[in-house]
Amino acid sequence: MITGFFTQIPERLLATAVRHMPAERSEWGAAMLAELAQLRHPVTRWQFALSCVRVALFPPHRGGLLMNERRKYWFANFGVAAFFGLLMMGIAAFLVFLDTPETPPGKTLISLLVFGGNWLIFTLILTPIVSGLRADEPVVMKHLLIPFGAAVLFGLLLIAPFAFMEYWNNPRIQSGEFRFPFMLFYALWLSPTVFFLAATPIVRRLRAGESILAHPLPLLLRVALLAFLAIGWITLLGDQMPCFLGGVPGCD
Amino acid sequence: MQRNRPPSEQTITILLALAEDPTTWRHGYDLCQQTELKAGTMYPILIRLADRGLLETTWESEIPVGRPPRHLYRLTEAGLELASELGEQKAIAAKAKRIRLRPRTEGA
Repeated sequence: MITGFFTQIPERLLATAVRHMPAERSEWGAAMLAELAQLRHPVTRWQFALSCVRVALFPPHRGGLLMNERRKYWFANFGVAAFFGLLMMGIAAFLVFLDTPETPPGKTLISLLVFGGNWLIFTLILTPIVSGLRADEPVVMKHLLIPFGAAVLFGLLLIAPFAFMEYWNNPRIQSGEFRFPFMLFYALWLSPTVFFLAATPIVRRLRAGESILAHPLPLLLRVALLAFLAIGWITLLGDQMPCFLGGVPGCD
Repeated sequence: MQRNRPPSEQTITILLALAEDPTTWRHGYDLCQQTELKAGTMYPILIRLADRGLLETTWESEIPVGRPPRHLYRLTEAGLELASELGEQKAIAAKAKRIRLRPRTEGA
């Protein structure tokens, strides 16, 4: 009886993993279970079951790349993310220069290090987002530039009313006594832009009628990033709202 | 959206194994044994091939007592075309390699 119980473990293990497969792949789960039922040798059964458990837990995306290609193209995704990261960090550096053109030369090295560090962090955040976008679309820049362009526009439209309020309600900016807070609006623009990009693959899958719960861990990380961005943006906006409304003297 | 990228070595191995006898339906574990690939490598490739319309799948019609029906695989027309194309490329590459490795004869 004990022997019978132990020989059933590979089947139970695989059956548990197969239960979590998305509906579109359930046929393949049943296929692996049926194949396991054919095997008699205990070692072979364990090897086959464990190998299949990996497939059941991480089944390939529909329309995605072959597994070996997926690994290979991570570097390409990193490169694309680094390019867009550089663009966005370049804008930030330019806005810092506009805000503080009289920066002492001694601070340049520190600024470069901060710039490099931010670029790396931003690239690491963008890499899975780019991977998600590329997994749904053919690998051409055009199909990456469209979501990036839409995200940039979304961010700009979202901050436009506040930028207008900041200028309209602040006579010191109008008179040229104070500079327009470019860095603040860059930060306010960046969060919704990244939010839009991170949410796009989820929206696409939902619109295509696919299950977004097929890969729970990447989804969890993505949702955590979205929540972080949304909370950060709302907090910053809430903090600066009195200044936009013009009711607080000496806003910083 | 499907993409045109060169298939991996493992994908080529599976395609060529299936192309050996294109009319016969094959089982997953038989393919594992023939190609010496682990199930964890082979099934995702089979899934992808089926997604791309290169692999035909069906279930066993005659179910023996005491075990579930097995999933069967064979190449579609498109799969067979791709396999023969890849097989030719592989043969040309192997021939070129043999020529490169052949020791030079005296005076040649």
